[in-house]
Amino acid sequence: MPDAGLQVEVPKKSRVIRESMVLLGIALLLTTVAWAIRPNRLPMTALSSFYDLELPAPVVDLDRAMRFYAEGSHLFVDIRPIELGVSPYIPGAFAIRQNSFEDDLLAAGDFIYPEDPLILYGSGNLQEVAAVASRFIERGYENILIMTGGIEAWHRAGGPVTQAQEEVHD
Amino acid sequence: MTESAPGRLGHPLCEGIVLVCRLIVGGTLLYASLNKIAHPEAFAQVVHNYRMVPLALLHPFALLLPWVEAVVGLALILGIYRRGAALLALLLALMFTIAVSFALARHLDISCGCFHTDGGDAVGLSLLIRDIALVLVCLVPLLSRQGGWSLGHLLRRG
Repeated sequence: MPDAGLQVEVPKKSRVIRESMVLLGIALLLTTVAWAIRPNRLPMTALSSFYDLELPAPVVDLDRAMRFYAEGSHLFVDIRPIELGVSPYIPGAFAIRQNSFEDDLLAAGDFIYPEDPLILYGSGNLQEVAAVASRFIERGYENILIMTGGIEAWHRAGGPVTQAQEEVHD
Repeated sequence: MTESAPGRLGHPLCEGIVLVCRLIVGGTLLYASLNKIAHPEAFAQVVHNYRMVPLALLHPFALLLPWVEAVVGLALILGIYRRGAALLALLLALMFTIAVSFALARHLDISCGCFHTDGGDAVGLSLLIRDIALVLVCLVPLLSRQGGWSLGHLLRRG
């Protein structure tokens, strides 16, 4: 009967390294093939202008954003390019999306004025939020904040969310 | 120190423990790799948010890491090159732990990007604890003499 205890041994270094190198080589091969056959492949060079994004408006962290929500001092704007009710929303948020910005802003015109303090949020991608923030600023909205983390982080931090379509103004 | 003879299994309980550890680590890595492989652009943004990888290496890193996770995860699940896979898994888990630690120290309010590139778990203490636990679990298949039931054992029996 084999020993019932979990037996520990220091493995041979050369063998472990060899196995690791083989696995890394397989991973590298698969990476290369997957990258080569992908239609819209990620370029090998990352552009600093893309990643070192200068945000057009100040950012607000989740704690502050939740405090503003509780105080009712800011209007929340959901910029995600999705259909209403598909994903959780911050209750009372306005859906003003990048690809339908003018139409959405027109529809919300009775509720959002240029002097109103707005907090923009998305799915966590700051570039998307920044793009919509820029459009707001171009239209004369000056009191814009960009929420970091996105709706998922808001939900996980305990922020209220709703699935109901009627809770989101459009 | 010598390995167990090929084809010979140890005590079922020990083999089972090693197998469970392999499946936990392997399954976690394999699952974590899927969304990253599907969305490399989003994953590159996630990696950039940690502010640890130089811009020149960002895209190659974002492209390679998910495939390393997938290959290592699959190798652990199947029991192929167990120790090599466990070593790589350990290094990955250590890297994740260090990255989360740095993010916490710098008070970065970012998503971890562990399993989803669009949101997901925020970087926090619970995530750090989870990564440390993963490091510890990786040690079992790396250091254990028993390999746990594996594809190799099945093939040798056949």
